[in-house]
Amino acid sequence: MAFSSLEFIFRFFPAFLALYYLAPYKHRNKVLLIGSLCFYALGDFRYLPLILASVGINYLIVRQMIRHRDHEKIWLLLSLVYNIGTLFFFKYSNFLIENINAIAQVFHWEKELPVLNLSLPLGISFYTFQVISCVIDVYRKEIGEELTFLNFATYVTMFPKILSGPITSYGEISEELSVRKYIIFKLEIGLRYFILGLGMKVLVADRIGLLWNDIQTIGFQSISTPLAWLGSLAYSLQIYLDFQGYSLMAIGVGRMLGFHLPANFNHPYMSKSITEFWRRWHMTLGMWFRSYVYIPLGGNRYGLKRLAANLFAVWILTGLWHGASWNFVLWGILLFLLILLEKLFYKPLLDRSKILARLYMLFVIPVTWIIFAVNHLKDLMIYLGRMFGIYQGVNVNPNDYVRYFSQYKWIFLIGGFLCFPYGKRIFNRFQNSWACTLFLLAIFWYSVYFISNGANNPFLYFKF
Amino acid sequence: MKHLGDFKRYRLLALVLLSSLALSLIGFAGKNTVYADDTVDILKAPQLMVVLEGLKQGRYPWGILTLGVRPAEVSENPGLIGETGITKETEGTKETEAMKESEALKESEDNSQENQAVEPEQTEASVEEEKSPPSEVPNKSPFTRVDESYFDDALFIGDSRTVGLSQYSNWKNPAYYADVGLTVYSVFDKKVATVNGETMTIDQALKRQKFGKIYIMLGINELGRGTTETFAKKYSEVIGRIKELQPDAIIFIEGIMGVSKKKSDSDPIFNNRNIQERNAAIQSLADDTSLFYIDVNQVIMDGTGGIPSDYTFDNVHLKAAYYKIWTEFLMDHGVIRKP
Repeated sequence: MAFSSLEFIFRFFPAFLALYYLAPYKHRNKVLLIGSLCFYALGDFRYLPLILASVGINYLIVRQMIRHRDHEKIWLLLSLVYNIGTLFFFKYSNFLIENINAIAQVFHWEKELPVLNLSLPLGISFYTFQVISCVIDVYRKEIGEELTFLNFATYVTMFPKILSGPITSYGEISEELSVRKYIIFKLEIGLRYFILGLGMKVLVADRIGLLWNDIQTIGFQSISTPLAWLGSLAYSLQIYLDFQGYSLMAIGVGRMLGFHLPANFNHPYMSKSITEFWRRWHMTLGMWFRSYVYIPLGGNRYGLKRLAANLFAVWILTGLWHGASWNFVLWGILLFLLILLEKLFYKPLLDRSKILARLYMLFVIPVTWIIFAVNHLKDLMIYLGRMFGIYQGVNVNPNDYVRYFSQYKWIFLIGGFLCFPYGKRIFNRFQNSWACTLFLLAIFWYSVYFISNGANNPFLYFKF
Repeated sequence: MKHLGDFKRYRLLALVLLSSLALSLIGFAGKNTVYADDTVDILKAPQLMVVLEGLKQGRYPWGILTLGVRPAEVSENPGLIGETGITKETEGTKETEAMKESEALKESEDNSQENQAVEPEQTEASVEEEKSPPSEVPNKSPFTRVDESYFDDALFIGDSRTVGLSQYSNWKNPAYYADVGLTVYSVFDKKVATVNGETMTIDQALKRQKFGKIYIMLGINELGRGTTETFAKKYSEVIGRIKELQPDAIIFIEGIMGVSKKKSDSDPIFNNRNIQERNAAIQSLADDTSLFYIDVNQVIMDGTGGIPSDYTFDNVHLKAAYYKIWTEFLMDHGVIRKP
């Protein structure tokens, strides 16, 4: 059940909110836990036992760790094997089998492994990472006795962040899991964020997404080079506004329940380098990899070779986390190379010259997102070939971009504006004014109008 | 909960609640009048949804006061009128699917007896046989191979597929009066023709410009609307009007291009069975003297009975690279009149 569905906005959430606030103060975590499990069951009933198992098994392990500190390493290992094992099984076993079969074909082996065709359990990439972070934090003694079963289960399953994050560490919300302050103004502020996110997704991201859809309808081999770039820009805007819109909705829902969930984006497209970009893009994921992979591996403390190896590990894993196919591996490798090269050579140059940095980013960002967007390597090569004029197109209409640019120029303008911090500044300044209230009300109903009339994309990050 | 006295601190919340309530009341009030055709799964969506759907389709809340208990049938299908490119149509079809489904169900109930009586015998093959009586020499086809210049005085009328043809046929000389979401019902109402830089309706344009050949491919958008009979009747009226305006033109009725198997198998309305049924009906309008029926599905369809999945991304439109199949087919099916 997406946040931008009528079912969530007009059915699940109001009903839940009413029960939540009618329940006595001390029972609200229970209401939240039960509500979250209902939310999960409505979205993906079959995999409800899996998330319940994850909660149960990891809680037992965490209790053992706290009680028997002598054997904590074994318990940690056990938990990692279970969590990474299930994630691997449900997310990557098909990918592995396909690759084994491909190798088998090369060597003309007769046998083929059957493909499993598992569907991805709802939110597994997100909740598994949060469980791992919690277990490691207990191992590091950052979390202790305060971790009750109810708090742990609520933290893992909490519906505002179960679908696509933000990936929150237990420490970030542990206080609020025990004591929350409720004032009606929090509901108001939460609603503001929710509506901003809703509008961003439904009114802007989904509209720009239509261009990407148009381009796929034409077929990559038949788009002109300018249209290939226009399409990559459209995709770049779409993926940002879609995910940022979702994150704002999650933060808004969280706020309405009394939680402060962490922000995921800090105007990433204003960055001057890829290094900086990834500190501003999907920040909660970046923090996770930093705390639980990069720093434990040694970070930048053991010389250049180790640094390169550590970065490589982080970016291959980041790539694979986003999806089980080769384009994500390629995407991770490209990001690794860019970040390494920036560190070694030209980042100081980019930091000094704003113009150079903007041009560099305007060139690099769309290319990386295209590699992210196109799953089949053959199609990917065709698209990149069209972007750089290397691949001779089939039946290309050389003026196609004129038509699409004039069709989408306004939405590009709005999407572009939202990449800058001006909108946020204006909002922060005037958010308590009547004008802003009416503006948000209008955004809300215009979004609901669009949703009612069915033009709705699923979240890009839904299946990760 | 403190501060309840301070309205400033929760006015957005209050306004959202109040407006939801108001729209819901309107939705319920119009349940038997303006919004009688809309059904809402009340467990999954709010009643106010019908008000917003109505807005898009030109049915407004004040209709509650002016309309009788049964609403006038919506004459237009505005969900399909798109402006954002060639894929809008599929999206549009989704938008109104729920509405159409109920419509289609009603209609299929009305006509189930008739349809069942006719359908099993009248397969496509048998229709074709009827069209070419055995008395004629079987090799004598009215069609000949023509070259591109044949289309210099041609006009193509159609929906998004024809928009695609205008973009990817590489034929610059023909006129294309095509728009995303165009139907036999809206073909003369929408301003989709451009004559000397001026946009106008097809009716107006046909009074100004003379064409040697007129190709028409319409029918996918209105698959969920009316029955095959009412569709064919409307189609025939459209042809009649075009003939009236352009008595000398050769008119080609193009069979509706199919969809992919994937779409066909999963869609109760936009499937190849329905398309074949309607194609059979419009085929019977042809007289093979000035009105010809041609069906590009012959050369596009694969073993699945639809567009091959490689040829399409959205299961409805050909990828640009494959428009050649269509243009080649058109060149194979020219009709040259004896002087």
